[in-house]
Order: sequence, then C-alpha cells, then structure tokens
Amino acid sequence: MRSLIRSLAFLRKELVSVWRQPRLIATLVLGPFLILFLFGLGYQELPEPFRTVVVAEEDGSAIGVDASELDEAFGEGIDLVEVSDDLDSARQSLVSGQIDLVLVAPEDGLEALERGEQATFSIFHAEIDPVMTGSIDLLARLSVDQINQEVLTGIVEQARAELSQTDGPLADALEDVPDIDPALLVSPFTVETSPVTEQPPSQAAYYAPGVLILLVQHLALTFAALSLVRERQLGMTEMFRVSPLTVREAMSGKYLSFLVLGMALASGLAVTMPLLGIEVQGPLWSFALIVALVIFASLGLGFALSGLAESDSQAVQYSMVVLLVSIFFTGFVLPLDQLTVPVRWVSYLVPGTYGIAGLQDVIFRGQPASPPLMGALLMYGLVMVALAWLAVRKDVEPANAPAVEVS
Amino acid sequence: MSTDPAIIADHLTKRFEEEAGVFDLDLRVERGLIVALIGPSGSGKTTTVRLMTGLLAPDSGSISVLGQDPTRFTADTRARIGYMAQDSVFFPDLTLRENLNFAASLFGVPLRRKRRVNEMVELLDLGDSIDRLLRDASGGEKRRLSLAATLIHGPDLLFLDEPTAGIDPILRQKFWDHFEHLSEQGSTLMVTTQYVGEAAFCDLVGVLAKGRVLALDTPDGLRRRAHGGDLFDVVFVAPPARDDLVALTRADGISKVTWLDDHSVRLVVADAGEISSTLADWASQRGVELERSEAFVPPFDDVFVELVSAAEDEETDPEGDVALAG
Repeated sequence: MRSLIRSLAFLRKELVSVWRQPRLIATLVLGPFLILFLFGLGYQELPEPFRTVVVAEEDGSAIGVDASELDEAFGEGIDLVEVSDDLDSARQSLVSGQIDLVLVAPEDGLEALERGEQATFSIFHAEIDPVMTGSIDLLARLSVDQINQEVLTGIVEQARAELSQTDGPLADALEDVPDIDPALLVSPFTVETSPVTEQPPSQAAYYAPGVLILLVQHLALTFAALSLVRERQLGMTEMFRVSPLTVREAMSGKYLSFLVLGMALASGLAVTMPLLGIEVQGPLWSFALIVALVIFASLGLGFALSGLAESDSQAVQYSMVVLLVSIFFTGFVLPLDQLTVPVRWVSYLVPGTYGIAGLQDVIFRGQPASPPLMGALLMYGLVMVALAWLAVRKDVEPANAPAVEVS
Repeated sequence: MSTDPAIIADHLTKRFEEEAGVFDLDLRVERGLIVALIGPSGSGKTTTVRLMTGLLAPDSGSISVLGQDPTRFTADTRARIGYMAQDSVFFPDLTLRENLNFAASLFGVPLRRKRRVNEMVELLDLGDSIDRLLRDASGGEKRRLSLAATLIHGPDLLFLDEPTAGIDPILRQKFWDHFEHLSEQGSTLMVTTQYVGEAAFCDLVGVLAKGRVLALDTPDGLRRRAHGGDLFDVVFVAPPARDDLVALTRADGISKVTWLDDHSVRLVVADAGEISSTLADWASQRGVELERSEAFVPPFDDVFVELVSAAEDEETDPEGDVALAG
C-alpha cells in the first residue's frame, strides 16, 4: 500500500506540474494539432505547373505540330506561357525567375526524321532541388512522348487520307482494315494501377501516421528526460535518497503519468484525423496498442538519456538529435528500403520506426498490429526500462549517489 | 522501544579535496536527545549529517544510525528518519500543500492525512500561504514548508541541517519549542546551526572546525571547557588592592582573576554554586567590601570563539598552553 502511495505521488506530481504550465500545454496539445492541421491543409499533392516558354517556329513546321497546340499536348504539368523564337530572351526570363522552363524545339525536326535521324528537344531549367529536377526530367520525357504521338498521329492521318484517294492494292487493303482512330493506332496500350487497399491515402494522409508517431515520441522522450534532470537540478534527489522511495516506485509513477499524458495527446490527434479525410481501417485497439508501446519505449529512451544530461538544455538537445534521426531513419520521409542494411539498423534504434510501420498497417491497410513488430517494440521498451533503471537508481539510491563536497 | 544509542560514530572520516571533509569523528547520541553541531561554514556539519543519513559513504571509520549502516538503511528505517536539507528543495509548480502531500507520500503517510497536514500547517504558521505555488512563496515560507515536510511522517530521528537559517526570531523560538516537545516525546534530533546561541537549547553540543570535533559536551560543560571553569563576576565598593587580588587567586576553587574595570573583576572558578562562601571568607579576612557578586553566563558566541581560538592556537603551537580569555 505504501509503495502504491509513493508511485501515485509521482503520478499526481507530474500531471499537476504539466497542468500548471499553460505554455507547455499549448506546446503539448495545440502545437501538434496545428501542425497536423496545417500540414493537411497546405500540402499539395501535385506541384504548381512549370511556367514554360517554348522556343520554336510558330507554325510548327520544324516539328510537325503547331506550337499553339503544344499546351494541350503538355498536359497539366506544364503551363505554356509563350511560344517565342527568341532563345536569349527566354533564358533571361528563366534566370530572373519569371518562368521555370525553356523548351527549345529542334530547328529541323521533320528534316532529321526524313534523314533517318532523331531530333532533340532541349529543356533548360534553374531548379536545384534534386526531387524537382527528377520531376522535370520525367515531365520532359512525357511531354516529348506526347509530341511524338501527335506527330505520328498526324502522319497516320495524312497517310490514310492520301491512300484513300489512290487506286491499287494498297487502297484496297486499307478498305479491309477497321477504321481505327490514328491516335489509338500510335498509342495502342495504356495502363491502370489499382491498390489492394480499399481507399489509397492521399499524400497528406500518408504522412499523418508518421507525424503522429514522431510527435508522441518526441514529447514523451523530452518530458521523461526533463523530468529527471529537473529533479536533479532542484535538488529533490537528496530527499528521494533519504526517503524509503525505491527505483521501482519512482519509475512506475513516472511511466504511468507520462503514458496518460501521451495517450491523451494521441487521442486528440486521432480525433482530428477524420478532418483530414483519414479513416482508421484497422482495429482501434491496435492503434492504441501501437501508440502506447511507442510512448512506453520513448519514455525509457528519455529516462536513459537523462542519465547522460547534466542540464535541461542538454536534455532538450539530446531529444532534438533523436528527432532529427527519426525524420531521416524511421521511414517518415524516405522508405526504409532505400537505406543500406548497416545504416538501416540505426532505424531500429528509434521507437518511431516500429510505430510508423505499425500505424500505416492499421490505418491504411486495415490490418491489426503485426505481432513481430509489436514484440520487437516491446523488447526495445524493456531494454530501455533497464537503462532507465540505471539512470533513476542514481537519483534514488544513496549508495549510487555521486560524492558532493559540502560544508 | 530500543534503548541503544540512536547514533554511534567511530573514527568516522570522509575526505574531500584539500583538507575539507570530516576527520576522525567519534560521537554517541542517546535516544531522545537534542544534539547540535555548531561551527563555521565549511566546518563539516553538513558532511556529518550526510554521512549519518547515508547520502555519503565514509572513507574510513564506522557509523551506526538506529542500529544500521546508513548506506544500507532498510525502507522501514528510512521511514523513521526525517531529513531537512540545508536548501529548501521542492517543486515550484506545485502549491505548498501539494508539496507537503508529496513529501508525506514519499514517506508512506496514508492518504487520509488531512488532519496531519493541517497540524503541520498550524504548527508552522503556513495557513495563509499553504495554497500558494511554491515559486511565489517567500524564503521563510519555503523553509517552513521544508520543516513541515520533514516532520509530516512523525520520524523518530531527525536530521535538521540549519533549520532556522533565514527564519525570524519569533518563529525560530517556536521551532525550538517544538524541537523540545519532540525530544520530550522521545524523538532524537541532530541539528546543525550557525546560530551559536541555539546551542543553549540542546542537550549536547558538538563544536566543529575544519572537519574535526573540538568539543562535545553539554552547553554548561562547553562553557566551562571554554573558560577553564565557571565565570563569576565581583563588584567592589572601592577598588581593591593588588595584594588582595593576588590572595584571591590563591583561594580554593579560584583559578584566575581578570580585571574588568577599577571596581570589578571576573573570576574563573571550579563551581560557581560553591564559590560564595570562599569569596565571603576572603573579603572578611582582607577587609574588602563587596557591592555584589553573581555568576556570569557567557553567551555561546564567546564560548564558541574561545574554543575555536584555543584549537587554532593549539594547532600552531601544540606544546603551548591553551589561552583562556575572561
């Protein structure tokens, strides 16, 4: 009973301390809500169309397509600003940021074709973002494919018209051929992709589990680390060492209090998910289990890190380092498959890696928490409990207290 | 209840860098006593208390508190000990009441403790501030909270490290009245203080300097030790002759005579209670007329200064006599 009283003292103390700090509550509750809301509100699945100037002859005689029809050929990815024959002026506009792309049509496209050579479109851009550069490459290929189809369609139409006006075996043969649309003839196949999940997530929705897990992990870790460091800085540990308090009692109280806070935060975040069009397709108990295990493991990591920190600013620095590692290594931004195997091991040192994968399964695939994944996270959490034990023991047991010179 | 001493220290030593620490401390504290450790800053008072509470482990020697090695106290023994640290340490985001309840919980006081909490609030005059956040409390209120938190679980043995520092004289007296009350109820108190005068409230006083115990005695014993005996002031109707005073120094029970002014002297005597008849005989024989005579109780500040000075003199000149001032 006395043991329970001591544990409950820590539970109450931590909850009241957090409640008494309005700024902390704002950071804890409103901050994550706003972050998630703004992220969903502001994220565009498709980037703005590239403002493009085409440098070509107006009549399209060099490429076989009228320049004015290029806009339709390019599709939504390119916003055709102007067709010009002044390359220098177009490049100046590109450098000054007025446009995003300059597409230069080959001067002798059809002539090169007649010679049996391939003509080249040149695209200039000022982009430095590798992802955007990749998008431009892809868009350029798709656009040129589209132009090629337009050219071929024109050739087929022209050939069919000319043949239909002639007599002879070729014209007779043409009459036996079904009247197929030339556009279909030059592009006979298309493709459709279908996910096995009922409702594939939008890009904003796809990141939501990652945001939730990283927020919960970061806050649990920071609170745990700060809690111990502040007690040390206040000098409370001296009272703990003299009292009958045990490591188990202190740890259970702290774990319980921050687990309650973390679950409250996660519940709040989960409630906002439908506002972003996200529905949890799997069982809710799995959702709760994953979040609880991530908090449990993160608290252990936070307590363990507090053993290395000598001040609260140092504790915050450590938690920021973990957050940075989490952004790159948990599968939040980059898929884990893109990490080489030795580096991928780093991913499994962060609780968020297990949490993001588990939550994506539950939310989007409708699957319950994967037992191996949750088992691994539980093991991780237990290892952290052992490390946290060492950190807390230093604060609670006199035999482990560092010698301090006093008067 | 056990009658074994509450504290036994035997050649207890804890050495820090340079010459700081506690050296060769021998101490035996019977249960129910109030024991004061007095000494200047850096004398080793707090280190001694930390050794006794298990916060520090000794380098050599041994210590037994409530029959156990403090570094291996059981939970039950810890629950019988109260410790008030030199600095008031609690949670600034909690009210004084919440902090007091937290301390009570740490020591396993049952949750139905409202009455006990209210007793502490009343005792320490915390009624107006008990529901104030600690960060808004004054230094005195924090100190009182610290004492309340030390007493809340009714410990048998109390270690109070400068409990009255920064406390106004009225409240300080109230503290000491309560300490005496606790002592009467059987609690043992080990108190450190820089207010040397507070030694008078104690059963036993240890004077520390540079980590060593210069003297360990009752308050009266310390006074005698500091001056070589009791002090007794004599005022004459007319200035006495020098020969008369020389004769006085040879009287039984008088070891030293010091001029205070033309008409008065201070005697160092073996026992102030028995010197009156000797003094009357001397006056009668020498024809000296006494205006009045009375025992002089020197303030503990003087006692303390005498003891520390004597120790320093002995340190610089170990072979020399210990000088006693009147």
